Amino acid sequence: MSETAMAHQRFHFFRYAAPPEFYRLAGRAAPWFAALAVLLGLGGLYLGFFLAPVDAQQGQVYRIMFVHVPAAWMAMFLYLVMAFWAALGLIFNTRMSAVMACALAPSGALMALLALLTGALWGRPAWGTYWDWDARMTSTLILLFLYMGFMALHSAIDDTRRADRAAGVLALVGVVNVPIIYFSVQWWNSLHQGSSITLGRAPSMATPMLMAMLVMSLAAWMYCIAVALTRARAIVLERERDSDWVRALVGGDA
Amino acid sequence: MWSSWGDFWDMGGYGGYIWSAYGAVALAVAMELLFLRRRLRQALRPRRAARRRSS
Repeated sequence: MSETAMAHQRFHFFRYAAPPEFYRLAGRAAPWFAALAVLLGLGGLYLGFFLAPVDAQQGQVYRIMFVHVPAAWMAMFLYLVMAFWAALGLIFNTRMSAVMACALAPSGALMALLALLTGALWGRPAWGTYWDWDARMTSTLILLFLYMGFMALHSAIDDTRRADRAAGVLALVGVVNVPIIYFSVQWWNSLHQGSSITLGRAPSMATPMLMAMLVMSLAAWMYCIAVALTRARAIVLERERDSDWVRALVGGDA
Repeated sequence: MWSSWGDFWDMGGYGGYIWSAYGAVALAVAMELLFLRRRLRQALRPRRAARRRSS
């Protein structure tokens, strides 16, 4: 190890105190987010199935929207958050940043998969096909592959710090895909309908429908936060396995 | 709004698509929570047991 690297570690020893603090705080916060996710989820389902009226054009099948749109939003947004943490980790070499990026990737992949699945089940009755290689669907599939690539690359490199850097670069390169997904329905002809909500414009939707979609989206947010915090706790424990605080916490022979 | 539970589950003939979509979401969430709980428990397992398991 070079001298500068040694000095870097010595003078930044306070960072070693951060993981146990994170572990404790995340453990206290996660149940609250989980409880909010359950409450909002139940409320959103009630709004979506018992208050929102039938859609004039699509009939009842539009109710898939209440899971499809939150899943698609979260898939895109989680990618941005993951890339943000990956960038912080690359720039400042902070440990918890890479942990957060790794904690978000599986949830993001799951949201992308659910967006594709629920979209296919909506597309069949609405457009007559489960799948079409158009811009919106293809770029969302690429988003799923980016998440999977991030996880595969990370697990393929044994040295954790190097894995963090390599996967972090991949995450950053993939950011270009997010605006492509978002604007795909404007840039290309697509089977997919345009945005249901645009900032600064009145939504083209009945109020209970909109409320149900927003409440379900909030539920998805809370769920993802709870899951990501909990997964980050597990990753911290795995990474700091040999540290004193994890040994003290876990017990057993040292 | 719904005249009966049968009417509700039928969803105007789209029940198969709608409940498949919601079922997929429920299954995915359940699986993620299951794996997550297992991972956290594994990480909290005392070292001796963890080593025996991995070797």
